[in-house]
Amino acid sequence: MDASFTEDQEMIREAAATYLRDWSDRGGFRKQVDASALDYGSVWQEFGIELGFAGLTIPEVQGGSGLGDLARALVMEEMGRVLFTSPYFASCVLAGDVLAAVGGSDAEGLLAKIASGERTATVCSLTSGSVRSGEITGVARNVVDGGTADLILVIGGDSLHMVDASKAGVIRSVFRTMDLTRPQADIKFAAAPAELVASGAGLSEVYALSEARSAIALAAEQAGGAGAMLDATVAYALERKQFGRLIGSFQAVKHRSADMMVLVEAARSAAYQAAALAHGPELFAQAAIAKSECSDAYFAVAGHAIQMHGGVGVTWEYDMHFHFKRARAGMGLLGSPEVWRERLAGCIGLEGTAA
Amino acid sequence: MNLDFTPEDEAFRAEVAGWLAANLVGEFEQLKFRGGPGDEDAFPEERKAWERRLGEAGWIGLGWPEAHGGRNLPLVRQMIFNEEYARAGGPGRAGHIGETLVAPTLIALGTDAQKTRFLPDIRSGTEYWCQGYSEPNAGSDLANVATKARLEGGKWVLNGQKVWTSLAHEADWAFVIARSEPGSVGREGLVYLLVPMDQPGVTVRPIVQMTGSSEFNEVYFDEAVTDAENIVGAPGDGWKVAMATLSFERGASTLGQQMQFRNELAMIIDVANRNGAGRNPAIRQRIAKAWAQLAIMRMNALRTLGDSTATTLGREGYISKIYWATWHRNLGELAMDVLGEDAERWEADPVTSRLQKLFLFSRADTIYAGTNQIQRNIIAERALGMPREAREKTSG
Ligand SMILES: Cc1cc2nc3c(=O)[nH]c(=O)nc-3n(C[C@H](O)[C@H](O)[C@H](O)COP(=O)(O)OP(=O)(O)OC[C@H]3O[C@@H](n4cnc5c(N)ncnc54)[C@H](O)[C@@H]3O)c2cc1C
Repeated sequence: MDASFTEDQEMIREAAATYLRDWSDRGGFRKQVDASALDYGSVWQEFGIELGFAGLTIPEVQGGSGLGDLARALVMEEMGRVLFTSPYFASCVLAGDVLAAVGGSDAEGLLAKIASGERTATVCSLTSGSVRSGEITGVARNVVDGGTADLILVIGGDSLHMVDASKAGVIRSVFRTMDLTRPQADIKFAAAPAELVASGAGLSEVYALSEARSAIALAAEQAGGAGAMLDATVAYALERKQFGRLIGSFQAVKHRSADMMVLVEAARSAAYQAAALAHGPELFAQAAIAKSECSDAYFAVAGHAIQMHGGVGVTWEYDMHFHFKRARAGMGLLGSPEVWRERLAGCIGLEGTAA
Repeated sequence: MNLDFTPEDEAFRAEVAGWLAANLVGEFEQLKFRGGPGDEDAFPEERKAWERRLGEAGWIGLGWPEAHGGRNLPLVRQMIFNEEYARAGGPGRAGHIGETLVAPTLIALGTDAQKTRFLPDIRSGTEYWCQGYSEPNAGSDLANVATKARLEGGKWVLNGQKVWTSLAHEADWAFVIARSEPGSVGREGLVYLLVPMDQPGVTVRPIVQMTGSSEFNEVYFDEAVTDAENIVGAPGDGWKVAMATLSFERGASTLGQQMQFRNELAMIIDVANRNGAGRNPAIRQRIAKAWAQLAIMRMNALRTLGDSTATTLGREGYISKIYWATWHRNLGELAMDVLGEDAERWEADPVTSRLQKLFLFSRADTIYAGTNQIQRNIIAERALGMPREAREKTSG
């Protein structure tokens, strides 16, 4: 029993944090959202490929570093702090987790591409349409990084297909998201050529497993975002004066800051614990705990941060609204807090389902 | 990070569980799940007999150094003991103030004579203690204590009043902070004294609480005496010693409490399954949230443990009191909502009765050991480095 991090884990966190701080100083997410369309090019070249973070959790035989979910949680936490905009989440987490869970040589081949960072991927399921042997016709909505991913994994009840986004028959319409730091697109497949990666009756359970793992990574990112909002708020409270004194000396401000810290530390505990237990029998319960509590915490803390900044808190210039929007978007991704809590209710001896 | 216990730890867990199963029987069977918050007046004599049984078997003072009769067990083992104790329904500990507050204080700051005099009787479960800090005008602002102590003829003589003194009516001794320098204010001029309760100068008056039971008391000192050597630290060190004692409050004893909370939550889930409240989506959400936060509480405690070499608390250490207290208070409200109209049937059956007491007593959780507001001050000032509260000159 030892809840501290290993030296390797601390090192990987520090390596990520160092890069991410520098990225942030060079303009960070602002450079991305100010451009008319996200350009992941240079950031992915540096972070994903040269520093090798694309392969963080992908097994060494597929060219990755084979680190565990806890290391990933630490890296995601650091990404969350600076609102990192990169293909990491869609490609290495969402798609990577699906491929790792599905297994088999085709999936492993794709994982190797993702691990190297040479290709990026995302995951979607069709809201309408059908998959026939060798081709897909249909529509997928709200696909994270759907406008930029090279490879599109299409998950269906009993199959997993891969569509190369550059092929004819893939029509992507990127729409402007409220959360500008995590773009989405709708994708129309018109008899798009599709390679079968895996099939079988048990696939939906496999997807559920990978979704739970991904949700834990997202939860860690949310804990990081919440931590950054706490730090920004405390820093502001120690510099802004009103009534002749620092606003941080007002008890109402101190107490809300304290409440924010309680939320942040609880969120971190939830994310670390879930990541540490992600490959055990408690995966679903832990994902439920982490995703529901971290989503709630991030949203609440980002909201408090806006309030504690006064007027500047609602300006475009300050960062709070970007976190607030990402918190809102993250709540809905990979299952809302309510959905996860209902799942948790099923794991803890509460009988039946919601009436 | 490895959240599994070692085989040695698991063996220890089995030893604890086995001992409890073999001993919480016969005369002690009736004590199971009794004597907890809101139920402290249940079976006082039987629970003291149980303390002696614990003492004989070496389950008191697990973390103390061996030189003082303890077993020098690491925090993880202490946590395991507390978890198994709660899981087995071990009764509310009559001796916890002596074991978890007085003993660590004496081990750290007491004289050899004090250790020799007091530690063995705490360890054997034969002597009981209470904490004489709060006064009518010194609650959150503890440094405002007014009880007076003067040294006279080889004895300390005390006059004044303490209040909210838990278990004073069961205690043989009190540890008291009092003012020994006339005219001093705040943290200066205080003494930390060990005072025998059974004497003409000490009067204990129970205060009936909202649960209907009396866990705490008023304590009056009217020319009460204690021997000159029953001072911990020097005259004037009282504040420092008092704070050292408080720092032990957040030690291992709270590490196992999640198991007690888990028992309570399991009981609420049982009721929800039985009476259909568990099909109400809003109730399901709240139960699941309570479960999630309980798991977080435990992990948070483990994170605190993980840093056992650190001399200052990490941020995760600062949140534990406000987090568990608020969680427990919410749990009480959830319990009543799950009971529905049966919540109004006072002590209708043992389960209802326990949940009602949980509901009522947990209002105190966010008050004692530093109110939620004081916890927020501490977090803001010590963990976040925000400016300190303005203080009147007259207080600490
Ligand atoms: C069940 C129970 C058992 C107890 N057992 C013991 C015991 O064994 N021994 C003992 O010595 N004491 C004991 N206490 C006393 C306990 O420590 C005090 O009740 C507590 O410290 C609060 O003091 P108070 O009651 O005087 O409230 P006050 O300090 O008067 O507080 C009243 C309100 O003002 C708020 N407040 C006070 N100061 C501030 C501030 N600076 N900033 C913001 N808000 C503030 C408080 O949060 C609270 O809401 C016990 C209390 C309870 C409820």
